[in-house]
Amino acid sequence: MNNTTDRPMVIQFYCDGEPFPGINGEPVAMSLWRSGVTTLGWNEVTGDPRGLYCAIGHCFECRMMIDGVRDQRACLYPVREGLEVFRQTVPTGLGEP
Amino acid sequence: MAVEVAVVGAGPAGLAAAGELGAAGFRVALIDEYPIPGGRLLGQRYHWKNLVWDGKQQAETLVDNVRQWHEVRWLLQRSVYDLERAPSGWALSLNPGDPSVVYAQAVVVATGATEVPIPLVNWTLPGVLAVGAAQVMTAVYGVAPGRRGVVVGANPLSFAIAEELLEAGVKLAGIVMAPGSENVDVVGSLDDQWQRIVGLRGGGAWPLRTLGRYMTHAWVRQFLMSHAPKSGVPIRGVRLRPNVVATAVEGTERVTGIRLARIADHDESIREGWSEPVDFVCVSGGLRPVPDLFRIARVKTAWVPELSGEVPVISPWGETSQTGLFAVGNAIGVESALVAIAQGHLGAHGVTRYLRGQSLDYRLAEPDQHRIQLAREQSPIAFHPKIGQGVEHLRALFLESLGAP
Ligand SMILES: Cc1cc2nc3c(=O)[nH]c(=O)nc-3n(C[C@H](O)[C@H](O)[C@H](O)COP(=O)(O)OP(=O)(O)OC[C@H]3O[C@@H](n4cnc5c(N)ncnc54)[C@H](O)[C@@H]3O)c2cc1C
Ligand code: FES
Repeated sequence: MNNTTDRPMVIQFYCDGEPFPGINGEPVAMSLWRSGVTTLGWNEVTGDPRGLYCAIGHCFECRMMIDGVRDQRACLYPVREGLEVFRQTVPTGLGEP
Repeated sequence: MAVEVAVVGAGPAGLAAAGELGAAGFRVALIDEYPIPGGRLLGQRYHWKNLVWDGKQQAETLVDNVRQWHEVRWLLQRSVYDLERAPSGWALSLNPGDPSVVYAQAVVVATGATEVPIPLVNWTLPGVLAVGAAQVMTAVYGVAPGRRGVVVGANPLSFAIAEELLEAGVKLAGIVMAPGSENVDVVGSLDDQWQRIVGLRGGGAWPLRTLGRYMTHAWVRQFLMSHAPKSGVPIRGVRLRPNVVATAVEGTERVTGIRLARIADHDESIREGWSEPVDFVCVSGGLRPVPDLFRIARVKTAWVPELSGEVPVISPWGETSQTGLFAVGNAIGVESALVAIAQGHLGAHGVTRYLRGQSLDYRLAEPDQHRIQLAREQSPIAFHPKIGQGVEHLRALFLESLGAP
């Protein structure tokens, strides 16, 4: 569980189908930020870009589709080899505003 | 899953509680939504009395202590979203499941504090961060929030983190003030913000130590603060810019700058405006306890400003108005990690008495309460200058509730 002291293991994961490097176990949002990806999704109503805000699971600004599940907090979700994440736009089921 | 005690939150308070409960031989579920235990300790790092306060190291020590007790089950990456009475005590709902419900005879809520946001024009742009996010990025994951940033909002947390950022090699355009606002009560007017700066104490955040004592006089404070140079005054390497306010964040896809303005000398009207290039903006309106689970469990709470917000009315053993539901750490008032640890120990002793059917007479909690007080005095940071009054206030509310029918 506590892998902070182990040697970091570099893995590859996919955001919107594109490969990105990450350190195994760190939150998805951290790997993306390190690669310069600061927009994690777009507001469902206005379409404005949204990104990491609190980094500790409180604000839900970092919602992404991860492992096939919508609205996962990318600041908490640990990255791993082959993980697929997607940036969200309009929620399915709600349709266009 | 059925246990004797469920501890919600594996920050310093929850870890300390779980360690004591494990040592007492109880079956414990220690639940936290974060992938790594340690809570907000993980990002803390600053100089203090010629020593370095290394939160990561402190967290590891607490975690190792809990690990030796095999009756403590770790349930990380799970959020507790509901807390209800069950025949044998409490039922906690977890997301994601596995297990989806934890039944516990007693519960310790150690969910900590959260940051108060300061709304700014354009503050939803990627690159606008709560100051604690910048701390987590730099200190826990070695990810630089940017090349040059600015901190909006002066308080013990923003001073401590600004210092951490500078030490990590991140450049800052300084700490500027939040736009004064009567509508956003956490911010208040500029003079409210200055008064809070003057009232600060603590190793990481110790600005204006020498001038501080004169600044309790309104006119001295207002004169000095409004006449500070535009570039600010250095406080332990951080530039505090007391007469500069942030008016808007600039950028389209992400932060590219900050719009700043200087206030006029004798009133708070804005004199001139300009832009400075930054690639991230930290906002910091201070901390407040997380009241969510207390509200869900219909615990009696009170607004105590010195404890930074809404807190449960608790007995000196840490028990809330709901039997078997205990609360420790920053969830009962914003204080340093040392205090949270001492409160975790006390809560565990309270739970132990509760489960063993021993007296929870509040006078018996004196020795543990004394240890909390010592921790308070030794803490590197005090988040509110009148914390003692808040603690007294809460105690009075509890004693009052004893008298109530
Ligand atoms: C962003 C931030 C930065 C801080 N920086 C400093 C600092 O530099 N110096 C300092 O002295 N103090 C700092 N503090 C104060 C800090 O709260 C205390 O130092 C100390 O960490 C409090 O310990 P705690 O165990 O009560 O709570 P925390 O350390 O906050 O731990 C609470 C834990 O509970 C978990 N949790 C919360 N709700 C749930 C839920 N519903 N389900 C599952 N898990 C949950 C969280 O994931 C977290 O791990 C900071 C606080 C914050 C919010
Ligand atoms: S950034 Fe706030 S919940 Fe993820």
